[in-house]
Amino acid sequence: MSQRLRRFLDSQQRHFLPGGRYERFGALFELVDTFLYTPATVTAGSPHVRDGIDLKRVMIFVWLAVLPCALFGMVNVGLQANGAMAALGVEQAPGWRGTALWLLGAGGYDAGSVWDNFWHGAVYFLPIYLVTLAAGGFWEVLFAMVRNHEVNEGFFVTSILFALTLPPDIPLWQVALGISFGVVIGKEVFGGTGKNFLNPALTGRAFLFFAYPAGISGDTVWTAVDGFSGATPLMLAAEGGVEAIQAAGITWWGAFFGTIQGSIGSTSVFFILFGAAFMIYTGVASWRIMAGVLVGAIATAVLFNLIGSETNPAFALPWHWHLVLGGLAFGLVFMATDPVSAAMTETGKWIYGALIGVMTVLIRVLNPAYPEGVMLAILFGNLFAPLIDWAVVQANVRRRAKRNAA
Amino acid sequence: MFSRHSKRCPGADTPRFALKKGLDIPLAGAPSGEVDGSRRVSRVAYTGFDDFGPKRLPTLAVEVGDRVRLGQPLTRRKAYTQVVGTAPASGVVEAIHRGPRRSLETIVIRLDEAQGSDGADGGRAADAGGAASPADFPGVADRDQETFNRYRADELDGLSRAQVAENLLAAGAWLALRTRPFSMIPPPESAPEALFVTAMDTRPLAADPVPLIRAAGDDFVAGLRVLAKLTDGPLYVCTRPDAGLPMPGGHGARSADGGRQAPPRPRPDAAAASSGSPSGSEIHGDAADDDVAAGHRAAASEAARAAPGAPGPRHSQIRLAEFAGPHPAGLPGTHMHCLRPASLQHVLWHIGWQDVIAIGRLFLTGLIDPTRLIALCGPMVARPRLLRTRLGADTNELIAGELAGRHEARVISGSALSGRQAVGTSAFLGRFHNQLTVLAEGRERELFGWLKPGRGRYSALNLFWSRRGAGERLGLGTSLHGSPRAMVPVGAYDRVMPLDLLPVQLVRALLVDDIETAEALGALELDEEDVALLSFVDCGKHDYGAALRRNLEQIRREHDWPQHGGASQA
Repeated sequence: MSQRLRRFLDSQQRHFLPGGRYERFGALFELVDTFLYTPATVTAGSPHVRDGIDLKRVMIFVWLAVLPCALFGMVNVGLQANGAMAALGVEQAPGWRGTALWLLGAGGYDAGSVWDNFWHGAVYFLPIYLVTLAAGGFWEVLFAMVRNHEVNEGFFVTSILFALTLPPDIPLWQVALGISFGVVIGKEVFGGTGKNFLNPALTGRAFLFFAYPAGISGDTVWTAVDGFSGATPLMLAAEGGVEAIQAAGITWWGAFFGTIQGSIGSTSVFFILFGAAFMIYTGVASWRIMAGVLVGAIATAVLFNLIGSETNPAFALPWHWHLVLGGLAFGLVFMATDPVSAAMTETGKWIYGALIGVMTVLIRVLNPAYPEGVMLAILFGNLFAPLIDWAVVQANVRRRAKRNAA
Repeated sequence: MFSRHSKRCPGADTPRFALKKGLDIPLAGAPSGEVDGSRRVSRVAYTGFDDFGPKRLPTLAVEVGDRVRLGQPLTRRKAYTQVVGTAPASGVVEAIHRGPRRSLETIVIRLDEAQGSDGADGGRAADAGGAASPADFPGVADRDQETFNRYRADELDGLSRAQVAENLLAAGAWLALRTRPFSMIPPPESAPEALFVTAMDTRPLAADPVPLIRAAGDDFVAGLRVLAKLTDGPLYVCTRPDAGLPMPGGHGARSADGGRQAPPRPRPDAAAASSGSPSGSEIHGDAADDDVAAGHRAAASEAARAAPGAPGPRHSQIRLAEFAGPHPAGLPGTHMHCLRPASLQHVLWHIGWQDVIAIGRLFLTGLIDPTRLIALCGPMVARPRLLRTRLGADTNELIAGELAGRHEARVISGSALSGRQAVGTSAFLGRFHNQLTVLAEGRERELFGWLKPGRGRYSALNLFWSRRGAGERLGLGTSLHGSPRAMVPVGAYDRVMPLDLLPVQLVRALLVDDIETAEALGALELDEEDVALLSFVDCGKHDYGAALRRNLEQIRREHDWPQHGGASQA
């Protein structure tokens, strides 16, 4: 089987090389060929040996790190929906999703069953993910073909991160529109992977956030049941602090494990920590950035605790609640560490991380319009990353100039 | 970043640098200490591509079929007419190979039969007036060769700079010197601010040169004394810790003893070396600079001091510096960065330990010593060991019968990181290469290779299972392990760059030919081999060495460097 496939690919390759019949689709052939098999390329000169690392492996490792969050996200979407259905007395999921569940033979709606929850969540998450892959992949391949460069694997990660930051019952056309904006405006117009300055997944989400606020914010979108309305813990915190969150039956441990409403994949700090540990161990993400965000967020939260406020109960929200609510943990582990849009100097990574941490808590506590601040804080950090790096670079350049003058 | 230890040695303040960043690639096939002088070659080549000058194309003084003598001029630089390249052997010019744009690749010389088969040759000694016996250069002796000025050991310190330069130029030994910035042949009239002798080697699978240098003690010391005449500044002998190298000042009995008694020592493990040294504070930036500068002043003011552990007056210019840690701790670029960074205004020269020994012999005997010790190494080599062979030896002859297995092999003159593929018309040892590495060509295609845990693959990051078996040496091949992609700054660049410069910003500037940024970020201090590790760990599979050279060449043209000396004569 493997031999025959290899022979088939080798026999077809000539059509996709320059001068071949399907020259235009060379990037697509390269994508499929190197997805299936490691490339036969050998080093052209020195260095004659190369590190085993390649962009595919880096990106697949990030994807693997996110995977537990995605799997748990599906369970949690089902859990929230099944719980809400029981509360509202709804018997079956509406429309094609109900049919799909029935066809899958997983037609139970028992919030106590992980199996039922998983499949109920899957019929919400998988369509979103597939639409993301199809729409974003289309733009990636199109740009690669027109620009005559390879399809870079970065989109692999962008797609799953984008899908996991959405609410479960977002309309699928909005998903396609969001990822298209993220890939094209956030990345490809600047030259593609490695040359963008904004995180493409967050660019797409921010576009949806401002273009279709009704679909991605408020208190009705976070649980995939029509007619169910439930404020997210961060909204509760803005209204009444920790007491309001606990009054809604949410414990700190519940928030830590992620059995609360929220974006599909970003609720469980527990599973996010798995991903963080994996990425730090393998070295594909920067621990400096993660630590920087943590320090910034905790320091700002403590500062607000100390200042206190008569009118704004969010001032009193302690740092350990900040960390388990909303998208802060997900953003700091997976979004802020995007190597291309983050600061690239080692010193700069600390400053960049701290800036994001401070901005996140600042937006959460002080801005009444947006209960969640991490998305905007990271985009803000992306914008400042080149400036931070510039300052670090100038310090290094000055040091060198001083030494050379001696 | 590096830390600097000033270990209290009795009577010496040798600068010590313990580098923490860097990478020793765990390649299989490290050479044993055994020196094998039995392999003969019938052809050697003058390697033109090792001479990087402002005008690439030298004038040729010979044609195919000409009979040449060892030391006879073959090439003459157009920019500096005094700089000649001399024949590395006596014999007949068999071929002259040219590369792209008619650049000179190799001038191949078929050796006279007697030398090819038998190294012991009495005739040479008579030619040289009895000064040198064949035992001096065991394994290699040419029937007739050019002779040059020779001096007694006690005359060397009294030589003038002109006398030294004249002899080096005449014998073609000038080509062993390289400038930093630009790694070019230095203009004959110019003088460097400092001269760096590389007496250590951290390249993958390199042999430890220290026992080899000690075995050639007096010649090495003579070479140092001669070379010190070329500069008014210091001559740094850069080596590993506890090398006990023969140094001027105590060279007589000491070096002879050292040569005979000291057993060949393996290169100390990098981690052990840095952790075993006294806990010095990590010095960043300005502090380090001031410290080094202060060190210079202090060292300059106390001109005459005792050499480490040796009696007699210390040579006022020649200083020892010790470097520990993983590769690139042994590269001249690293040594200069730590001791005295190079720039357009501060030109430095460097030279390798084998050429220092050869220059010592040249001045003591008046003869060119074409002997070179090289490490035959790599995963494909059946019996990795040291070979005593000739400058520019035919690599195909050297590896004949030495390979294990029938896999397609790549023969590299030099190291796996910075060597040159020795194939076809360029299958000859490079002038600056102290090793011959043989790797397996990695053309195999693995199904879903990006998903496999990857036994046998290696990464500076923790991406593969093979990483877990620390200390295990791997038979890595030449696979690119991926396809060319955009430059994504994932992780390992900073881990392998011990110099105080910003690797990610530097390589991005190099890729887009932003020469102003590249220069400001320290590109002038570097050479291809200094950025080889950055290419190694790159996930987009770029070649930053080529990008660096492209930028350096552009900077050099814009500054019309070198302005003094030979350029005007070009």
